[in-house]
Amino acid sequence: MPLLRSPVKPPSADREIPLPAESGAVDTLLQILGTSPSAAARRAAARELDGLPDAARALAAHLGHEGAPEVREAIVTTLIEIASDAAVRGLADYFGSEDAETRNAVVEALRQIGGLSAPIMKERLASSDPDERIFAINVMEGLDHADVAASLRDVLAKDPDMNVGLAAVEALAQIGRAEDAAALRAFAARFPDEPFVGFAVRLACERVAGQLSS
Amino acid sequence: MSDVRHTSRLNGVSEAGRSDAGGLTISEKEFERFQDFFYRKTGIIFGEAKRYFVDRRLNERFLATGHETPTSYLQFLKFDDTRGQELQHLINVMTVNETYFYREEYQFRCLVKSLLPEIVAARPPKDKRPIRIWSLPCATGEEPYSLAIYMLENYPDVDRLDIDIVGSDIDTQVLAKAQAGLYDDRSVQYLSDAVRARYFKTSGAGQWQIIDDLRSSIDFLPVNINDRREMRHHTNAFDIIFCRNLLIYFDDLSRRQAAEAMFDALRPGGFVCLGHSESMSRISSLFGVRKFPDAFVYQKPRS
Repeated sequence: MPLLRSPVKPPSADREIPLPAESGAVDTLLQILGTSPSAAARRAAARELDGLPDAARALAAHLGHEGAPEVREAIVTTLIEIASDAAVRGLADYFGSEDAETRNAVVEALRQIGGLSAPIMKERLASSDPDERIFAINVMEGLDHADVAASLRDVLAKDPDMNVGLAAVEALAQIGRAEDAAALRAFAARFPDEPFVGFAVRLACERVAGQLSS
Repeated sequence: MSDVRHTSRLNGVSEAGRSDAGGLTISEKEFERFQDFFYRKTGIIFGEAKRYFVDRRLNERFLATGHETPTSYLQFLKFDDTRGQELQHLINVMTVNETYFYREEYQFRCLVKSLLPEIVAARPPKDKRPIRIWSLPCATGEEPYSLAIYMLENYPDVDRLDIDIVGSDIDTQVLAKAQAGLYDDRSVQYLSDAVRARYFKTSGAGQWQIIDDLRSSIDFLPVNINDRREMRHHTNAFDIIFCRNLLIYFDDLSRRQAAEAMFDALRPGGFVCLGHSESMSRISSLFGVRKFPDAFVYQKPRS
């Protein structure tokens, strides 16, 4: 039989990478993440930080200047695992990133963190940057959280930017219920000269009409 | 394949106090606490339709361990099962395994026609390490033995190369069965008579056992793909991973963690074969997609 059976080698863990339980691990891991020329070492450091919530802020800060995609992915996964207030805020800070891939990854990560993202996304709805408000809405659309629909109705009623409102329309079309139709129609009434608003609201109202009230 | 058939979060489906699964009644709250605990340990989530199955299996474990309330059993699991033995028993009864030889054969064709030739061609001549293939989860062994048999039958270079096949599963009982290599008629129904004759011994009573040479050529190891401590032992260790029909039973985070684990376990340029209904692209951007004549496969970048 030509197939080989080779004994599994004992753990060959790279001992430059300390385990999370080791004392001083956060600082050492962050230093590796920030300075190692090896993407594999930076990636390993990022993954080992998952049990260390104190690292969330620094981990998120590194995301913006990390060049290797596999390290960026590891950072995002670890922040999802940490799932703290600092992790959510650190991820949301990339709503303004020039890099579409990073923005998309951040939106998906915040959705995966789930309900903990909701209050911070609500805060971001008050940002002066319409793009940031739109990304906050994109996240909210993927959250199963009781306050989301109310926040989206608030956007429809008050946000001065039509595109932000349209993002809320799109989100409510996905997660809204029949009771949201009035807020949707009121939004259309705020922009009577914009045919696309009327069109989007009509579609959203059709979608929510079949959804029972909560 | 270890088909842990659990699909979505349980949404309070059964009224408190029911006992139609027999044995102790498990309340909604108790079930949710158990579900949360089991998910954190394994990444597996039970769907609504699985409540009856889960209640029955839990009751088996209550009986086996002498616990008279679900809460005391859960407390035991959390605080007193320090070596994880009861957790392993529980995992074993909660996972369901169902597969057969040469399942989704087109991927084996892809292996011998496309993946192995590419891996061999891309290796520097001085790289003498064996080519390593991981069947994860391997359940009762049909997949790793199928890989071996298919290569022996269809890959001319198999005699020239060192190829190492490892089968792993979270369930230690199925691994023991895999090592025994004993199967019924149904498992081997898609194998030709000639293949059965070459690689199996038969008792003539619908029982087929893998020949000793082949059984001894495959390593079987217990592994929980979402246990980072365990997976560290397999960093940069494999050229190809067959991980079919597992990710569909995980939630988003567990899938993402499994993708990270497979990325780290693969050597640069290594391949992941998923089940036909699974897509890595929806889980992670770590891998590239390769379209070969026989199958779509995911690849870890070379650099």
